[in-house]
Amino acid sequence: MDITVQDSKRWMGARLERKEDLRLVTGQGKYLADIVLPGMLHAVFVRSEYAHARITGIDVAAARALPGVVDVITGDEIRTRVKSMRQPVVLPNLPAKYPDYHALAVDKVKFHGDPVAVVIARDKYVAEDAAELVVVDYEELPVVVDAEQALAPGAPRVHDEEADNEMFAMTFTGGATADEQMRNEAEVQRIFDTAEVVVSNRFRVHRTGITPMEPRGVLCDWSLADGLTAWITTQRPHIDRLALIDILEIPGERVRVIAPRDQGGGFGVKAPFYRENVVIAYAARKLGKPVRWIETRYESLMNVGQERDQINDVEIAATKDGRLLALRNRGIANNGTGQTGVYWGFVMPFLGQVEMPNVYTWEKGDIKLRVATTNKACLTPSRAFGHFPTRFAIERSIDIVARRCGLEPADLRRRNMVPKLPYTTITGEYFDSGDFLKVWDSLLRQIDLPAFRREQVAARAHGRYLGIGFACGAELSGVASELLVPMENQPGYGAATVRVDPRGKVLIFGGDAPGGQGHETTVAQVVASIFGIDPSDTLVTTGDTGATPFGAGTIGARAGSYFVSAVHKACAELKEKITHVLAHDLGVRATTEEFAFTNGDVIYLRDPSRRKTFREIVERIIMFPVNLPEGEVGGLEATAFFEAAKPMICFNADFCIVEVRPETGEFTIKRWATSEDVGNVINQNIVDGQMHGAIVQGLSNAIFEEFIYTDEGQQLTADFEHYKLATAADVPDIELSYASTPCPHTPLGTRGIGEGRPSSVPGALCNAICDALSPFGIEVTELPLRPSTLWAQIRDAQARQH
Amino acid sequence: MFPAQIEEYVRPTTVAEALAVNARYDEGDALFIAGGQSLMQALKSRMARPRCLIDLQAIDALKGIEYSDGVRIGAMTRYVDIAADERLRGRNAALRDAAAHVGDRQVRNRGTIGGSCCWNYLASCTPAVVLGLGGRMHLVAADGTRRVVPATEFLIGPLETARRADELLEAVSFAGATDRGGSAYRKWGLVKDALPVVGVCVCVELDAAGRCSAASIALSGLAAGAQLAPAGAALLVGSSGDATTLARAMDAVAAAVEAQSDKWASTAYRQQLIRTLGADVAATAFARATA
Repeated sequence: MDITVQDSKRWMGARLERKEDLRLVTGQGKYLADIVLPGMLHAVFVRSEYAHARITGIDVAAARALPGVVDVITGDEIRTRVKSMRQPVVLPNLPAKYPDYHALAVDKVKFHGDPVAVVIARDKYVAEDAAELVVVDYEELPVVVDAEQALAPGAPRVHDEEADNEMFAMTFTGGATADEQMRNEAEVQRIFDTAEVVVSNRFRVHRTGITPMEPRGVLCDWSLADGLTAWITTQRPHIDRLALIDILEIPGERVRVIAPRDQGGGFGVKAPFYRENVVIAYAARKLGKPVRWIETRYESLMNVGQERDQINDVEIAATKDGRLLALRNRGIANNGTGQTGVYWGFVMPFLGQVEMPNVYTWEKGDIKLRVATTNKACLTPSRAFGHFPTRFAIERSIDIVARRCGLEPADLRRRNMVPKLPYTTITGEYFDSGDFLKVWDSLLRQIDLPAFRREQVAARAHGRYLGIGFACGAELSGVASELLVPMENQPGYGAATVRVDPRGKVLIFGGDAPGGQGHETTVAQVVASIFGIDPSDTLVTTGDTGATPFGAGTIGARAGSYFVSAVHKACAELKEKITHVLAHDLGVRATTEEFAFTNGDVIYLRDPSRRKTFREIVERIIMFPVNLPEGEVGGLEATAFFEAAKPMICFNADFCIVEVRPETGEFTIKRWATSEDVGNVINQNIVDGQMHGAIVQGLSNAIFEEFIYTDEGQQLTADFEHYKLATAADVPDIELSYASTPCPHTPLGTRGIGEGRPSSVPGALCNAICDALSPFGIEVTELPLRPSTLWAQIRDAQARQH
Repeated sequence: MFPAQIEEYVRPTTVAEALAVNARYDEGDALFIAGGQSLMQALKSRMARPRCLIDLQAIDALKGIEYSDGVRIGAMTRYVDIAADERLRGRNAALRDAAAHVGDRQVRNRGTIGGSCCWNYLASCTPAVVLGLGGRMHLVAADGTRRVVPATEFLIGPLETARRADELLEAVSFAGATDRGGSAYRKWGLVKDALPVVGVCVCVELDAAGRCSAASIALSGLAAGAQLAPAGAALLVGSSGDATTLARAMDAVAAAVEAQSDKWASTAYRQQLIRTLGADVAATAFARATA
């Protein structure tokens, strides 16, 4: 009996091949650009060449006159026909100066790439021809691209209606009132005044982020009968729907948003509500025809995927034997224009500061953030949301403290790591469960550190510079309502509808919208293990607001935490109904637990000869709802919502070993090893893939990728010749290991994983580099980490030493 | 990223046919397209707006590598075929070094030696290697006139060559294998197989005693385009490729060239790369010459 029961659970944790992959690797994926409607028109945006300029005139006559052009729409038209983008549905509950703006630029352009007009034409070629004919007269205005300059008195103002460029400022420590915060600041200062070790550094992280394989796109169809149907590349179709309803003032029953089943990655970029959605929906309604816009790579790199871009002035007070006492930070974020719905740019650096203390036990902290509006594209969320720069700063600072104390950085980390969970940090971040020390110790077992130190010394004698670097971090496992309501004005719960089909299949509907994470497979494994059926007997539908329960979207590692938990909850409800009816049919009094769902059968455990196939019993309940137990009705469909009482986390730790070539500053990553707490695993391949992808992304962000603006605000990196992405040959083999603790707050013990994971990478990497170069006394405090910079630093150090 | 209107697209099977179509258009209105790895981007960004595209893919006479007295590589020979041809060794080995690391597999399956030379982008490998190996460019005009232009004269500067609008590049030729010739090429880019921030090609000829009797050094990635570095090459002559000489030669190269400063590398860093990378490349070239 035990064997059959175990059997039914065999799908949990299995390395099942992804259900999605056959269609994706055989070219049968159906992406937004594959959707074509009869009579569909094509849109091309005219975008600003200037970072800051007044629009003194737009001449669209020549563009309109081109055969094949249906319409040319400018900001003046949008302003009078459509509400502004600043509507409550996309406003966080955080006190910020939210700029009011329209879907197309009005009066002023505020960054290089700002949409000024849109051409609608019969095909994309004509639309581009016409876009070239739109003549925009600009009067250039002073540009501000540097965050500190933007915050300085007298700086050019990005938004005329604001008195200055400080969009958001916040203190994250000490309490809610100004008095409490000032008292706290003074107490922190006292710790610094008497501390044996004080380390102060300015950390800069460049503008970098995410470039999904599939850029954005929108296809809108308008009909008198059904209103607006919008296909959008999006991580949150339900939120997009609400925003379209409110901004375009269309009754809600007449708006349906569909995120295509296949999306080529999101990573945060497809989470905001964008202006292009409004423009295309407006055009479709106005013209009564389907209109489609597919973003070019050039537009994508100009407009989205840009994150990080922070300065953090970090100070740490410690004892000389390596006990961390206090943490002070003054963060400055370069927000760009702040014109992006839901996040407004600053929400990322906000969360970055919340996560600043990481997993260490500080006595006190004093953490503040200022966010500057500048003439750059607005920050958009990118995996490792907001805390890529702060994690880099804190993990580098820890190593610098260790060096000052003469301690092994790994030991100093362990000594100051939160020993027992739950725990609330100095910024109020709640760590629900897990065992940091278990994960850490498991990491350390993968390296003989004393032996490495001996090897390092020996290598130096031969002019070879080896180094080891550590880093670790707690990441959000889903975003609880407690955090998501203030941060994004949205609920955090997971939602799923599970519909059992009379043929014994199970259909699952989720309101989130994945972009390649493997929801179809993960959910199939969960459902298969609950109902004892095969994962192939399931179908997962996501992204269609007309078919799925309300969900806040595929963001913040919500799948393994919230979504599958909601699926589990709905399945449990159905299981109860199935066993209730089955017990009745078998004439026994039995609880749900007295039945096993396995290998397509539902078996009465007290007498295994009494069983029905899953299909028989579900067909009976759905199609033949007669002679049911008293009070029971037919049908097998349930919608469940899941929300844990408190926010949840996952945890990871890394080390890497590098060798630096001082003659050129080039470095080789010789090993990269990790230890992870991911909770219970549903599909090991998918979890491994998330970790590999996250680490590669962290490396690519840290070393190669950089959005570059000139002082005039010209963006120089709008193609992949200039915006450099790591290739497979540029990254090391990654040795993953797991030391997980099941999450006690999800029904399956699972954790959501993968979102924050890249953020530990730059710290580990740069710590290893600095360890290797410790004879030169080099401390890396800025990203990107480029051989050319290291070479210059080594050369300077050598000059000083001589 | 959609091209401006193109009125005519032809796919001739002979050189004469290609030149005849070209002759029907004013200068610059018709463009030959080889592998399209650069031109397609230029078309999509509308940097290039030809009225006519003449696709050279179907002209078999432009493809392949012939060995007789020397080596003649058809202009439409792809990187993948150059990289795989083991007969390119000794003094011509640098061609394989370069071809094997252009872009990625997809680029190497399409991109051609002739296309790269005629486009002459500053951050490309092929022109520098052709220059370093003393390549000769075989051109044919619409009236059937043929001329051979040394690479030094052909490669004028970034995106500029001596090819006249009525001419087509048929082939690039090199001296044949010698008993004691060796060459090598390597580049430095931020990511693997990226366009070079700087690249160095060294070609040496040794005498019976193992001393260098002739040498050339060519560079890629510099703002002025592919270029020779004769001052450094002169220092190699007479040496047996010892480390001190190589370092001195590359110091001279680094000092002589005009290296730009940009986001990828400062002037000083480019010079340092020329020194370190250059010495490695030169050592490989000497080793191949004595192999």
